[in-house]
Amino acid sequence: MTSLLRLFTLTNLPIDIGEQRVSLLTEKLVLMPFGIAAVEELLCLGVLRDGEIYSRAEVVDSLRRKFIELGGDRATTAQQVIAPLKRVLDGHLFQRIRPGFYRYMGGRPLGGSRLMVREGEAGLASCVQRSPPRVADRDEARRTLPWPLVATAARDEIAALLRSSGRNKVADRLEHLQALAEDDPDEPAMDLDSLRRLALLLLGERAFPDPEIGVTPDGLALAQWQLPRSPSNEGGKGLLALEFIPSGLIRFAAVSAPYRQKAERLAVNGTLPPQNALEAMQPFTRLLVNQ
Amino acid sequence: MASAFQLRRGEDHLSVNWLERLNGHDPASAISQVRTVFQRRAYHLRPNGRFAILGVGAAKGAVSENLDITLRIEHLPLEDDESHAGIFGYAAADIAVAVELAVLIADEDVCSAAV
Repeated sequence: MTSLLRLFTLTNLPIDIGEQRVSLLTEKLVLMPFGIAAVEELLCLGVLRDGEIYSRAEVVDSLRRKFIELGGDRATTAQQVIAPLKRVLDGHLFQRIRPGFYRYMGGRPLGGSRLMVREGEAGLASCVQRSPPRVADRDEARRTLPWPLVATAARDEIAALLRSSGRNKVADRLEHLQALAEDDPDEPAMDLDSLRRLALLLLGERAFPDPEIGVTPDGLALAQWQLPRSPSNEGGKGLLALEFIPSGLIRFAAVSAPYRQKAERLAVNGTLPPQNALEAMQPFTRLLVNQ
Repeated sequence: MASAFQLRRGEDHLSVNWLERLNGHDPASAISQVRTVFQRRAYHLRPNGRFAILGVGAAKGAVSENLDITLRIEHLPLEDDESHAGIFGYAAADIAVAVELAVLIADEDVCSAAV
């Protein structure tokens, strides 16, 4: 038999998650970064009435409920809301009446003459331009970039967003690949738009297990899953790979088992928009979900 | 990873080494020779780098079975790498070829690149 040798790099290296990163997890919630900007953006939606006095617990509860209503993590706790809210309570949006009670000032500046730039005001301004998706739009949002991802420019924010939805292994891998590309000029850096498309798919398809993540020689994000053995692929494990083209299309290929002479295999490949690609790959993705 | 078998845009072949071209037919010895060649060329072999052995017949068969592509293997000896070869016949966008090749690699076909 003639054999060829090919050099490659292993994909799954164990990476320690430092305490700092773990604490970052608690600040990010599913499909929405829950920080100061999140509080202000929720307030922009009319969670509280201008001029009314609220207890801190009422503010926390209102924000938490609105957040969940918008598709945030249902397990969001009051404690998770309190930390970012504290700084907003000290800002221009609230007037402290007595310990634990605040008047919501809405968009009105205190005393009419205190229009100084404060931390958090940028978030307030931006929420006018980019509203969060309505619940009814969530299906559509799965097909397009969700608003936190559109706003997310940095790779580490995408990694944090993935962490907040339980994709820690993927986030670790992305950070490792980024460090590798920074250290070694021969390693391709992952295209940011391609990375966003990958994150979008993984945030939308929660039932899929964590894939192995790689970078193609042209710098595109690549996700792959080994397919479990099944009656239709008894010849060995199959493979499903997706390459995320920055325009939004997905280049995909899957085989149910390695090649063996005269053995039947399932195979599919193509380049399609995400929803169509997922439909085309259903015989394979079903195996992943049922694992 | 399938990406190990993908090409860059503009590339016309995947660089590989032809094991039987090296002295002796013991794969371990052949791989050791390739490792030496890589080190001599100051090619950085990472601790997580791996060599994968791919059968030519299976590679050609796998790709021709479901895809309308015929792979061609050519010996491309270099001055300091006599066993160097290339897999021709596909392009950067042919992820299906990379998947067919990657899935052929069993655990026993993989060994560490660095010693």
